[in-house]
Amino acid sequence: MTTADTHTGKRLTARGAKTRARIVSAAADLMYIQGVGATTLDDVLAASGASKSQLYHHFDGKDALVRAVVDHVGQRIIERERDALGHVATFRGLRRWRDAMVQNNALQHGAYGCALGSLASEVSDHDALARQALAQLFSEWQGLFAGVLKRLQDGGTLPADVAIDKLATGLVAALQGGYVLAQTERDVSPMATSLDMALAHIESLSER
Amino acid sequence: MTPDSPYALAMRQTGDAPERDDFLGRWRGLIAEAVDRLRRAGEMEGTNHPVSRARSIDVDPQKTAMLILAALHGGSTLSHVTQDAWPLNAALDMALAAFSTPENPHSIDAGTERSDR
Repeated sequence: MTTADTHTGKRLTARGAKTRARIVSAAADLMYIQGVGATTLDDVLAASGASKSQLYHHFDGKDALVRAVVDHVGQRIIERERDALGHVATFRGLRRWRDAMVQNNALQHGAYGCALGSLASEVSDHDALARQALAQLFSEWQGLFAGVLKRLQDGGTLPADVAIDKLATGLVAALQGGYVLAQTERDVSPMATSLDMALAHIESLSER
Repeated sequence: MTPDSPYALAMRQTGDAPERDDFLGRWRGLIAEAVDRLRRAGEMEGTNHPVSRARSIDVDPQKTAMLILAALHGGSTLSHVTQDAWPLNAALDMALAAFSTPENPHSIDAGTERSDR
C-alpha cells in the first residue's frame, strides 16, 4: 500500500509512512514542550529513533518538518474541536466546552498552552507556507464557533443583527490569549477568566 | 501594529518565566486602573448616556483587564498568521464592548460587517 506525501509528493510505502509519522509525532511533542526554536533536528532524531537518512528522505530540512507538525497538530485539534462544538446550539453547551478546555489545561497548570497557538506564536515571518497553513486552521476553528453562534441566532437566542464572524474571531483570540497568560502564570485562572468574560459578553447580547 | 512597535516587542516571549509573569502582571494592573477610571467616569457622566452608564457600572476592572490583555495577545497571534489587522480589531472590540458608545453601539459590541477590509 502506498500513500502520497502531501508535501514532497513522494509515494510512501506503508513502512515509510510509519517512519514519517513517528518523526512528525516526536517533533510535535518536542516543539510543544520546548518550543519550535529550541528544537533541533538532532533532538528529533534522538526522540524518534529515526536515522538521519530516514529524516532527510521525508523532509528537506527543519522548515519542512515544522510544516508537517503544523498539519499534524492542526488536524488533531480541529477534529477535537469539531467533536466538541459541531452540535452545540445553546449557551449551556458553550459553557460545557469552556469547562472541558479549562479542565484539560488545568491538568498541566497551563504550563504548555495550546499546541496550535504555540506554533503560531513561533512561526517565523519568512515561512509563508507554515503561516498560511496556520491561518487556514484558525479560520476553520473560527468557523466552528461561527456555526455555534449561527445556531444560537437561528434558535432566537442571539439577535439577528449580531456580527457572528467578529464574535467568533474574538472567542478564538480570548482563548488563545488566555492560554498564553495561563502559561506565563503557571495557573489556569487567566484562561478561565478571559473565556468567562468573552462568553458573558456574548450572553449579554441576547438580553438586549 | 508594525513588527517594531512597542506592543509587538512587549508580546515577544523573552526573558525568564518569573520576569515575564511580573511584566504581564504590571501591564494588567495598568489596564485595570484605566478601566476603573473609565468606569468611574461613566458613573458620574453617565446620566446623559444611559446605555454606557448601565453597562459600565457592573464592569469588573480586574477581569476586564484580563480579557483585554488576552484579546491583545490572542488577536496579535491571529493577525500575525493571517497578516491582517482584522482579527486583532475584532478581539479588542469584543474586550472593550462595555465602553461602546450608545450613539453607535454596533460599531463595537456587535459590528455588523468587516468595514475595515
